[in-house]
Amino acid sequence: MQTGEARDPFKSHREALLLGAVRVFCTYVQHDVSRMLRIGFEGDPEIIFRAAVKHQMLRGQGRHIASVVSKIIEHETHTPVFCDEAEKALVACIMNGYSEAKSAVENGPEAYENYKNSCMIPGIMSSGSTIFPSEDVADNVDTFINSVRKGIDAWPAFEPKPGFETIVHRMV
Amino acid sequence: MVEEAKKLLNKMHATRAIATVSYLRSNAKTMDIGQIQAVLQAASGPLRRGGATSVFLDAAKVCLDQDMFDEEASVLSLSGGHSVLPYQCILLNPNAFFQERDKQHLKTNTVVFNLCECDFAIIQHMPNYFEVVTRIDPIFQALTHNTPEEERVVKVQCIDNISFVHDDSYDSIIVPLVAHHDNKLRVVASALLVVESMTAVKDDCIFGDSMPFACRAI
Repeated sequence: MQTGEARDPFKSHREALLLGAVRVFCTYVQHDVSRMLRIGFEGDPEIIFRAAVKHQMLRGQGRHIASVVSKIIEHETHTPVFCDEAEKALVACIMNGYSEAKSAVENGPEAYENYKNSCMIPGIMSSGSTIFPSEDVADNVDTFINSVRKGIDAWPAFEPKPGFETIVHRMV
Repeated sequence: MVEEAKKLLNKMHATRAIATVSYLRSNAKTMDIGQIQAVLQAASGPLRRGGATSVFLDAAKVCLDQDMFDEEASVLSLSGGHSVLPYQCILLNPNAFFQERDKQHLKTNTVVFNLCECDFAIIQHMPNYFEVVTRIDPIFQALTHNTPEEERVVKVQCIDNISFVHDDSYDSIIVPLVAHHDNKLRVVASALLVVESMTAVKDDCIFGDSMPFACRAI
């Protein structure tokens, strides 16, 4: 992701949306990490994180986010209109905190780093770590564990498309 | 304190009630979060028994302190740009989405927004790209500050025919939809911000599409 001095309004709009998409994906990943820790997963935090990334990419929000990001990148002015309800919901998530993200990408690497460290990461940790009561129900815990397992099993066969999927693939 | 609020709210028996919880405005500073929640809950029941189909907290008139936007205030925890509650926004601008022939059937009202006092707002950054912000959002504050004083207080029309499927709550407010140009804000319409799992639907007498344009935050 390029950051800094993105003064072209459409370019900085695109950069802010990409930053928002990464934030949303990471929030879901952090949520999975929190659920795994709550359930009692033990071991190297790095491995737990990778499991969460794989799960979110293949069985969670990853592909939806990748699809939205592709449409944004490919659109001439990076302002596609989303009609699908699920995509609209995702864009609403991505737009959360847009002003700060846009300001960060427009004001150079230092502003970007500052945004990332003081706003984006704390936000991800805070929002992603909230576990809802329904997620503590035994059936839902079992479903979640099975889903994570299937995500890990399916990962070797995953062939990422260029763009967001490739970025995520490189994360693990 | 809660009883006092109940009495106040019981007086408001309009069929299309707009609950202006002015009580909170003058008392919120001296109340703890439990009391505030109790007052907000009290606002819901009496109004519905009085025939109201929904309860609005008028964003222009309810001013809440910054420290209300924390985790404990679950009904208003759209905090710091990291919302954990789902929400819907419905545009209430009668001119936006309705055919000319349908407009005569609309019940409309007007609402006055003062950008300096709104708890929430929706910023349109690009066509079809909206962000829900709270009044404590520093960028929203800066943009409001840059907006000429005479443009901060604006009266706009709003449709008055939206009701809810799950009308058991108080967590909806009318908020300004503002366009963002040249580092300033311009109020262009009113919108209904519905927090949590309520689903807003149009009344039978509304024609056209009520056009929800944003749905769920994480």
